[in-house]
Parts: sequence; C-alpha cells; structure tokens
Amino acid sequence: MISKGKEEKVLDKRIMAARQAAGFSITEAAQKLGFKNYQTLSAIEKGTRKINAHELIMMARLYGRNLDYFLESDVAPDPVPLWRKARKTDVNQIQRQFLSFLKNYSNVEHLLGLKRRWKDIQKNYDRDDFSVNGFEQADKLGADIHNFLDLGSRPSLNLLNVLENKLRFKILHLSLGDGVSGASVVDNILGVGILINAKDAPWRRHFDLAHELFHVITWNVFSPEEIGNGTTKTRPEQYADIFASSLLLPEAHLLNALKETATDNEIRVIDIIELAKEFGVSREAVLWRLVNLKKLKKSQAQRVLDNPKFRDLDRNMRRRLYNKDKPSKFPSRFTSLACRCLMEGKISRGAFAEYLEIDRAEIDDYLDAAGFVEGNYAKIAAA
Amino acid sequence: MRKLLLLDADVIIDLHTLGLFGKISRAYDVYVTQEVYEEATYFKKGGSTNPINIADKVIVIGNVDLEGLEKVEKEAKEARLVIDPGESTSIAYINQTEEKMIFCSCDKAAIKLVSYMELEQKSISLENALKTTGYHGKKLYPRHLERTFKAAVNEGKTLRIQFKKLV
Repeated sequence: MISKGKEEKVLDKRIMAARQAAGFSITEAAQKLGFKNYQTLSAIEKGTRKINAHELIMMARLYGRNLDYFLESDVAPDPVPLWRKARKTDVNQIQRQFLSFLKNYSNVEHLLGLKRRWKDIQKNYDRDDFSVNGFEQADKLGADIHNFLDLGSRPSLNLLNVLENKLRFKILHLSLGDGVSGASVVDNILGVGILINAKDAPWRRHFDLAHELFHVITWNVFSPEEIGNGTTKTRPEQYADIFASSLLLPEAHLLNALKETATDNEIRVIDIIELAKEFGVSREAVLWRLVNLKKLKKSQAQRVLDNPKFRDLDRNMRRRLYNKDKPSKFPSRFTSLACRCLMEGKISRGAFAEYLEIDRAEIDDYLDAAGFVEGNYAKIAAA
Repeated sequence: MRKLLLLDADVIIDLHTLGLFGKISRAYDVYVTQEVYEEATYFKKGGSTNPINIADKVIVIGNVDLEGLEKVEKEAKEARLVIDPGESTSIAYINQTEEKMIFCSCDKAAIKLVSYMELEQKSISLENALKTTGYHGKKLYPRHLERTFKAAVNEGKTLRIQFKKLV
C-alpha cells in the first residue's frame, strides 16, 4: 500500500520529482495548489504530512501527470527528448506537456490494440555510414526515405499525414516562443513523438518536421551530446538539414520544376520564390539545395539571400499562406482514436475531456462536429 | 432521505441542461466528491452558457482515502479502462463508505468499471433515479437510459470474466 513505509517515501519522492520536472519552484507550486504557504507542500514532499486524494489529484493536474505515476510502485523514467532551442530557453513545462500528450496518445492506441509501426523506418544505420562522406550519406538517405514513404513530387504536402498515419508518429503542434523550433523523442513505451512550433511559418514547420525525422531515423547512431540542442550547428544537425532538404526537394522533381519555371535557362529571383511556394519550403532551402545540386554557386546564393528586396518580395508573396495554414494542436488521428475510445466505453467522458483539453460541457458538441454521434456509431453489420 | 452520489460531472451538467436537477435534489440527499463538484462549472442550453451553482444543494465529500483511490486506479488499469480522477474518487468513496448510499452515472467507462469491481448493486441509471422522483418523461439522452446502463454493466461483467477469471 502506498501509505506505509517504503512506498510512502516513494510517493513523497515522486511528488517532488514531478514538481521539478514540470519546472515549478516549491513556492510557485504551493501557490498554484492553493496552500497557504510553501511549508505545507514542503512537508508533503518530506513525508512529514499526509496527503489526501484531493491534494494528490490537484498535483497530478498541475504537474501534467496521470495518477498512476504517483500510485504505482514501478514507473519507467521519463524519456529525454532532443530539443532544437535557443541556449537559455527553459523547456521544462513544454516538455511535460509534450510527454503528457505522448502518454495519452499511447493510452488510446493501447486501449484499441493498435500496434506501433515506427520501427519500420529505423533501418540498420550505424556510425560508419556517416564517418566517410557524411553529407552525401545524409543526402542519399533523404532520397531513400522519400521513396520509401512514397511522398510524391511535392513531399511537404504529404509528409505530416504520412508520418502520422503510415508510421504512427505522434506529432504535436504547440505555440511556442521564438526560442524553440521543435523536439523529438523515441521511446519503446511512448513510440515516436515530434513537437513542432505552431507559430512558425508553414515552410519552416515542414523543414523542422523533416529535420526531426532524420534524428528519429538515426536515434541510435548519434549521441545526444554529439547532436547538441540546436544552439550550434553540430555535424549531426548539418546532416539533418541536408537530409530534410533532400527529402523535401527531390532532385528530379525540383529540376523538372525549375526547367518549367526558368526561362532561357536563367534563374530569376522570382523563380526561387515560386519554387519555394510550390515545394512548401523556405527560399533559403531552395537556394542551398540548388547549390548542392550544382545549379548555383555558393556566392550567387549568398548574394540573393543578402538582398533585402528579395526578402521583402518573398514575405509579401507568402503572407497569405502564413495565415492560411495554421495547424491544429492535436493530430486528427489522435482525436479520432480518442473519440473511438469514448464511444466504445474504453475511456470516460472526463478522461476524454482531459485528453483533448476541452470542457466537459463541450463534449457533445465536439463529438457532433467530429461525426462521432450515436447514430453514426450504430453497427451496420457484424464483421 | 435517501442518499445519492452523483459519480461524475456529466450527470450534473446533463440534469441542468434538461432542467431536472431540482427533482433529484428534492428527492435525495445529493453527494458529490470535491473533484466532481469543481468540474461541474457550467452547462449549455439554447446556444448560451449558464453557470452551475449547486453549493447549497449538495454535500461535498472531501475525505476520500488515498488507498481507496489507489485501488480504483489499479482495477481500472487491470480492466483496460481509463477514467478521470473525479470519477475515481467517487468510486473510491463508494467502496470505502459504510453509509447506505446509491450512486448514479451515465458514463459508459465508469459504469463498466463499477461493474468490474462488483459494485453494480449500489448503482442506478439516471432514468431509474428520475423515476423514483416521479419523473417519467422521455426527455433523456441515450446514455441516461436503463437499457444503456444495463448494457454497460454487462460489458463490465464480461471484462471481469476476461481479466479476473471470475463470474
């Protein structure tokens, strides 16, 4: 039982660990939990004051944990995501939100008996593959994965959908500050998770997604220390950019499009912007890809990028796209599976509302909008 | 007066939406756990959002044992069901209290768990709870009906056989 001896100490430790992982100071947490002073929480964490069910539930909600984290004797340690962020950005609370989403998503998959498929993409790559001509290898890997996933001539249009539905990646879009572009994690229990900054432009999000995909594929090849946290362009980070570029701008399709866009074999500034729009990537990505494909010189690309008029033209031409393509926070597959679990009575309405971060009074409207009403769920025939 | 524990916030919300909460609160001493009380904040009707104020109509339970909560969470996991903490505390309370009390829910997963834990004898569908107050109207959602309730109880029994190997 949790209230006696050794296991009581486990609960105390978990309470403290959960608070710290969520990025709350003891004073801040005590205030949010409605304790009159921090000493009460401190006593709970030290095990000198008994906690009741109501207090534990409040803590579970504040710290973004399920109750089983506190009540079970054996709990797997939190996986550690790889972050792409500015040096001083604190990601504790975002990380907890991300891991909590992954846990909920895994729960609904588990309840419906769905198997993971992400291991399909983790081929047998090792360090030797990248030790000689690493950039070429990353480029080739991008092309191979493009074919393997059957992403078509404009991969950015399909990538998110394919990763979510074919490989069952769990992709969360959160509105983050400027200091964070994304994160990824691979875990045997939770599966593959990718976090993308919803505030970024669509072309930036596509590139980040492809970039994170490289880290997922090579999860066991490079150590977190080698990869870093995105503050400096380490070698694996450079490989990830080359991979993303090759995946999103497949050579044959890009050159075909270029042939149709450019007149008299001359590439104009406007052609770069048109190609970037068409392929759903940034102008920088197109320029550097053309440099890698030896269609432009590095100095030419740099000159174009340094030209402020080019920047303004690109910004004006794509302003509408920026506002049009706002991603939804939760993947549609996750919401569908959660609806299925609710309709089949595998999760309660309260758990459903918590998973989808909606109020309980909104559940019926939500189900209605998603098409999961009683009538639609009636069985047509026995399978 | 008879004692009725409303197991989750949805029952409270639905009763307000249907304008039937008064009937229940006049016929029963209504109990809710602290979590459920805090979750039932508003209901929607005719496109507008209306606050729920039941402070003087219910008795709020705050003393649910942690051990009881732990047991409910364990049973839910065993039965492959996920319920929220508010529902867990209600079931934990029903399991711990020695008072003569029945409880009411319209949540399929929660009813399945109640049945899995062999507590179905202490439970009642919303339709039947309303019938005892003299209400026999048809203005109920499918999830409130006795037949939906019974189907969920049966599913819980099936899970009991499947995972506990008990009848």
